[in-house]
Amino acid sequence: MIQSIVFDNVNLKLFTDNPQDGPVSQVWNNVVTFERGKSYLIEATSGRGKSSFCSFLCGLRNDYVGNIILNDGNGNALPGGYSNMLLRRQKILAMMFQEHRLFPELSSVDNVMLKNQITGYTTEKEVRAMLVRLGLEDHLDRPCGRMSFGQQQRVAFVRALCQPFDFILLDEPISHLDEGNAAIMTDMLRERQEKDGVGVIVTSIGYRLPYEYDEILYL
Amino acid sequence: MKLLFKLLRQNISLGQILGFVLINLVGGLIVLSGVQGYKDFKSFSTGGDQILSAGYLVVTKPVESILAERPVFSEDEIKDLEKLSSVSSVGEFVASQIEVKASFALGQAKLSSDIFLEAVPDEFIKDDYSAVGNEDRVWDADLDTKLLPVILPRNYLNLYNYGYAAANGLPQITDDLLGTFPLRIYFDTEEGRVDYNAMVCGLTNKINTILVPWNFMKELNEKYAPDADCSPSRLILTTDAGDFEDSLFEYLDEKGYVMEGDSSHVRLQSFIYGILLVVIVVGFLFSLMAFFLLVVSILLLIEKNKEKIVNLFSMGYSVRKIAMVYQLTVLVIDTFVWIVAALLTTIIYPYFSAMMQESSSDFVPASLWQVWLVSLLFILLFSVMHGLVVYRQVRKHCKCNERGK
Repeated sequence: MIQSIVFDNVNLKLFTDNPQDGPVSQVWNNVVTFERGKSYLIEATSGRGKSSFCSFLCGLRNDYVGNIILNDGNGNALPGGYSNMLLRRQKILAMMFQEHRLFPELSSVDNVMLKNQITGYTTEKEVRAMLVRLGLEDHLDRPCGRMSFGQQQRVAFVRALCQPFDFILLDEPISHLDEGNAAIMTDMLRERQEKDGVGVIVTSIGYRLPYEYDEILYL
Repeated sequence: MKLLFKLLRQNISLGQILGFVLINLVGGLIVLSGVQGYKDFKSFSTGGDQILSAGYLVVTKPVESILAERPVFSEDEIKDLEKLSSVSSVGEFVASQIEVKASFALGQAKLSSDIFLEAVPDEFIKDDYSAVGNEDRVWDADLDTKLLPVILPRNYLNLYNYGYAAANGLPQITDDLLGTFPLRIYFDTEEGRVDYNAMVCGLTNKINTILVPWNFMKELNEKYAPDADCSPSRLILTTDAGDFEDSLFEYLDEKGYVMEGDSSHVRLQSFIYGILLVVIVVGFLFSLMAFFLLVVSILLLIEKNKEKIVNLFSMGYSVRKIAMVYQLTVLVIDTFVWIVAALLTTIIYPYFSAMMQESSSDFVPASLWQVWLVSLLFILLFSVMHGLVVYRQVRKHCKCNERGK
């Protein structure tokens, strides 16, 4: 079980020749620790590297300097490599992408079940119940390609929840949602955090998920 | 896996797959027909002679003149022949060094003649005397009961049946009666005449001599003609593959050796094997073309699904699991094609063999297990190769993420 994620002087490789040109903030070129059980908001304006931060954390990109360390609480860091990268995505870090990364030809239930099949975390009945809770009862078996951006955002959120994890990273989760749905999403996230004691990291460029954050960091 | 298939099977081009199936079916049918043809021809070309091993050649040295010494092969010349790549074994012909007579009586008719016996090593003789009703016999002389097994040239029987018997109103002799044929053989030795009852073990239409067991002939010569020169003037060559390479014929020509009787048959055999090889190669080229067509189709499919593959990988799907969808697809297609090709060959073959049997009674239909074995080998080869190509391509798309840090 991963207890903390440390960003140790991480910066974009792009600026390694001239570090003074690179961003310096509470996250970049700094040491910041995300702990299990706590919640964090990463606040950023456009161009501050929010997408890069998410990609580095998920292991989708490696073009950074410094270290991202996943600690298990006994002083051991999770090593790199292909199998640990898979482990990170399957059981350590759940990710809700800003661009959702849903499959337009599959229904909302199938999109979630496709992710759920990797670990068999939950049942289709529970998946349907979560989607219904977010107001998608008429869109359960409709291809995601025919759904609005906001509806897709809710499917992507449910999909992120359908796996075991120690941390969840939500990249602008309510950019296209009304307050009512944002509140339901907040409730579902809180329930999960209370149940499993997971860490929550949310990003925002202004429109914040209404959550009780332990720390707000500026990129 | 069901959802993965549902997602990734989209964009499959049925036209491309159909093209692959058709081209590979044509190639597969040609390859499998070539393989079966090879087997048929092998049994056909060695059929009709149950006595001598397959793929053999008899060579002699030419007789220079009446007064010249008997041309014989030296030990070095025999060793040189053994070293040739297409020759698997070399055997010597040993001739009887004393006078031999044979006689038989059939009713009132009696026939007697001086004859000449020879022997080749036993490994060149197959122990199958069923054609003359002597299944239980062994290729060995019995000195106690004076029983001597012999193999006769088929044209001796033809000479009797169509010449002597027809002219003298005698009954004709069939193959299965030969086992009980009352043939006696006499050896004139210094100690007097030694009689043997000859038991015909078989007929051969490939060597024009009367063959007796090797050990018997060696002992006979050692006992009654110890000083005689037994150097071989004829050799028998064999090959495991059942055919000889052209280089052998060139070597024999160069050395001035003469191929006996069946050389044209061996050359024809070699020529037909060559044609069958070309047929198999053409079929294989078709299959190879189809193989690459499927490679291109599947690579295009993976390219079209590149975004989906990257997304699946970012969700936590392994490269192996993503690639498995495409690997199972190519496995099904490859298996389908080669099984259908083998089935078609199996269905068509009885018609072909019936046609062959009409034109030649010597033709014996061969079993088709090699066709199925070759099909299985191609399924294995194609699926493994396709599977590797698919895995590499999927991994390439995930490569930027795969290393981790």
